[in-house]
Amino acid sequence: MTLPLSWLISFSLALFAIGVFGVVARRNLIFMLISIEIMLNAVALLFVAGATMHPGSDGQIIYLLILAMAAAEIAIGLALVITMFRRWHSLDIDILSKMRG
Amino acid sequence: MIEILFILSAVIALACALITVTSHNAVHALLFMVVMMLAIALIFYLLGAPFAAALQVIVYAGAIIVLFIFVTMMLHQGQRSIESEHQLFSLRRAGLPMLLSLVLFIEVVVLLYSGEQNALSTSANSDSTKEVGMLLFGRYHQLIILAALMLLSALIGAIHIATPSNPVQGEQ
Amino acid sequence: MLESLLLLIPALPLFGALTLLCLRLPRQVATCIALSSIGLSALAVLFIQWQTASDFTPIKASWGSWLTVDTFELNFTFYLDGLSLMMISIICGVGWLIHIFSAAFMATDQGHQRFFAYLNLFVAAMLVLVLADNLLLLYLGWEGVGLCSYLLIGFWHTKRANNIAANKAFIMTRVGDTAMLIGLLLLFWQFGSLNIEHINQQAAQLPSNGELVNLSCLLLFIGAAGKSAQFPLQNWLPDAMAGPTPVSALIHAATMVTAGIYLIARHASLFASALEVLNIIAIVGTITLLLGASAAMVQSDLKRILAYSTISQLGYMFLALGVGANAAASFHLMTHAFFKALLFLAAGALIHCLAHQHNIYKMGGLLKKMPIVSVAFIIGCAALSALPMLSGFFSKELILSHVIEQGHHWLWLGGVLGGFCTAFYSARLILLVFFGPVQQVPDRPIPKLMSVVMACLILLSLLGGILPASIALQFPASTPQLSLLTHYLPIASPFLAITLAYVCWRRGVFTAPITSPFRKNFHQVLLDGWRFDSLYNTLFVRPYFSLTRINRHDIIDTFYRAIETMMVALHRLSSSTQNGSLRLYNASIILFVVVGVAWLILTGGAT
Repeated sequence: MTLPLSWLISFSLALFAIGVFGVVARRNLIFMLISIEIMLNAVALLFVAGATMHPGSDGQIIYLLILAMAAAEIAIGLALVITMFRRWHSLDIDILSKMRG
Repeated sequence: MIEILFILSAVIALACALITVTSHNAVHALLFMVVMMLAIALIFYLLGAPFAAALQVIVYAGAIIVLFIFVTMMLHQGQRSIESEHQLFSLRRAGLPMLLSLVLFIEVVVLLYSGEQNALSTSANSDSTKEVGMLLFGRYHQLIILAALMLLSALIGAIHIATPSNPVQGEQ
Repeated sequence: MLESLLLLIPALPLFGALTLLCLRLPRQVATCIALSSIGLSALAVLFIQWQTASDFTPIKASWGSWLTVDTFELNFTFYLDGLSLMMISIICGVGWLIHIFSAAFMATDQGHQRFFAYLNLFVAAMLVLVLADNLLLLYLGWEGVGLCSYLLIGFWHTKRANNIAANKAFIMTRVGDTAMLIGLLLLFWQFGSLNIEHINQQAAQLPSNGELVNLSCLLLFIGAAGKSAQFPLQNWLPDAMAGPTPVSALIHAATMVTAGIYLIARHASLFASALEVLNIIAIVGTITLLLGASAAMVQSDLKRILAYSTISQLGYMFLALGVGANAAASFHLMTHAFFKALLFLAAGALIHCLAHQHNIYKMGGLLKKMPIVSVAFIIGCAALSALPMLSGFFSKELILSHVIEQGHHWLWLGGVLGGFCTAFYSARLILLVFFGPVQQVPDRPIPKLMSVVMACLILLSLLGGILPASIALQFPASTPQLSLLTHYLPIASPFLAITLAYVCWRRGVFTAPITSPFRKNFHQVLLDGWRFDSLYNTLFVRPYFSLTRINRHDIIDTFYRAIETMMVALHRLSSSTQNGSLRLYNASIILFVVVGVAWLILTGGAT
């Protein structure tokens, strides 16, 4: 009773694709961050699945680190979201176009 | 058996992910995301990585999503937010991004299936957590320190960014 | 001794020209320098003539080397033989007389020094042309005289019409010059050298009517036709009368326009082996002489009559060259220089004293008022009409007898008809200007200097035919056996023409208004010089202008501007991606990943 690796990889990629869709299609910052989280989760799943090919628990170690990184990133991201909301009272990303030119 | 469980949780995860990214209500989206995380945790367990499954539930679903919910609650303005969200996102106008991600998925699946097909062996290792611990404090102890430092810097950064710089900003 | 004199002859006028161009001198000094440079050259020529009167061997001298490429050498070498000696005598002699005349004519003009500088430069260039040993040096002189002609025609450059006339002269002769240059190159290709002697010797050995020889001779002839105002490049000469009259006398009567004839006479052996081209030359000469003579019959401007007359007489010279009578052509060149210069100078004196009046219908009865000018005109016109015993008589009769001897009946008839018309318009000119009621009185006396010069030229016109005629009549081939008709018709026809002109004048035909429309049209056509100006206008000028109108927005520039526009459009396109929209940036990252992976799959780079 084995799980084909291809299934796992396809599932992970499907989740990643959904995350990509969310990042590109949504204008609300919170939803974009949520979609990025989904992508991160998908990639972490991919790592763990790939690590089961090799003996040892290295996959779970890497999963831990990915987790830590995701946490750190979300913390800062949400702080920035709060700052933006305080300034513009809206979470529309199109307001952040000051970098034109 | 494992396969059926896997397919079930995969379907749940995908469905919840879809609802999350297309929802208009932020809180609903986050709750569905929690369900997705739980499904993925189950998959981790099926892969023979119980430690990863536990971490997924505790840290990801339990801390990060909660953080999201806090911020969403802070910034949510009730019905107005939902209505503005309707304006910002509509499924009809999201055709091109859908096409983009579909193409991406198809491409990498093609890549995947043009290579070799490997079988995967899974085993629910009960000793695996102990093994992880031994690796963490043995071979990869530096990584832990680095991860801790990263979290510390994220903490300090988040506090600094989110602190209102003048009294006017803080009263909102 | 003679070699250094030969070197000095073109050098002196050149030096004079440079001095007058570069330094600012008082009027008297400038005149002195100009006159003395030509005068000294004339003296040198006289000396050479005296020295070589008994036996004549060609003299060669060189200023130095010009270019040396591998085995090809070209030097500033001058070559003096019988033909060129005659030419430089004319150039220096008549040129000097005209310089003296100009000293009086331009006495009150502002551009006095400039005038003499250009005149000296012209004489220097003409001497270089005539004395040149090789075709490239000849071409240098050729271009030099063209330049000086342009400068002198447009001398009074503040008047727009003069500039246009100068441009016309230069551009039309340029057409000829280009043909000549191509002919020159073809000759070099054929014979491997540009040395005139060399070419003549080699051409004599070739079979006649070779293609390349024919072509190069034809091109040289086109160059000569341009310079000597032959059909179809003849309509610059009447307009060139816009320049001062001494210029018309020197350049457009005596010297520059004879350069073409000199060119062909010089390459006698070469042209002798291109029989078809000689035929063309004869025909063109005949057409031109009829064209000029007919147009001169109706002109009202004094100088234009003389200009058309020059065109006609040059046609005679080309006719002579075309039938192979080179000696007759050169002889006519010499006599024509005398009487035409006389006529032009007399016209200049007339115009000068009548306050720049050019219209002969506004003149009349000046016989008593201006005796010396009248005598000059009468003698000059008589020589022009080839009345017996005058210089023009000998040369024209020689030409016509050579023509009929070769059997060209139609050409001979054309020559006789031309002679008739020549006498007619000369008589008309004299009758209208010097006889009849006085309309305008001269407001000043003729300067002494002008009278002296005209007297010299009168003598030359009277006697200048006798000595060379006796020499010419000694040539064995040149006393043809002529029938009674062909001998006496050319002698009698001027008298018939003069009688006809007198009758017309008496009846007032010249001054009466023309009623019938056909005659009016015909009169207008002749007046316009057979409408060549409007023909060229339609053929060349108008299409060119319509081309420039089409190209108003500069088609070639449009191509470059298109590149520029495309670049700007690309720039706008790419800078629109820098709009600061984070969504766009996101999307472009993902898009790039998608496209990259697709490319990898399609090119099989990732298996």
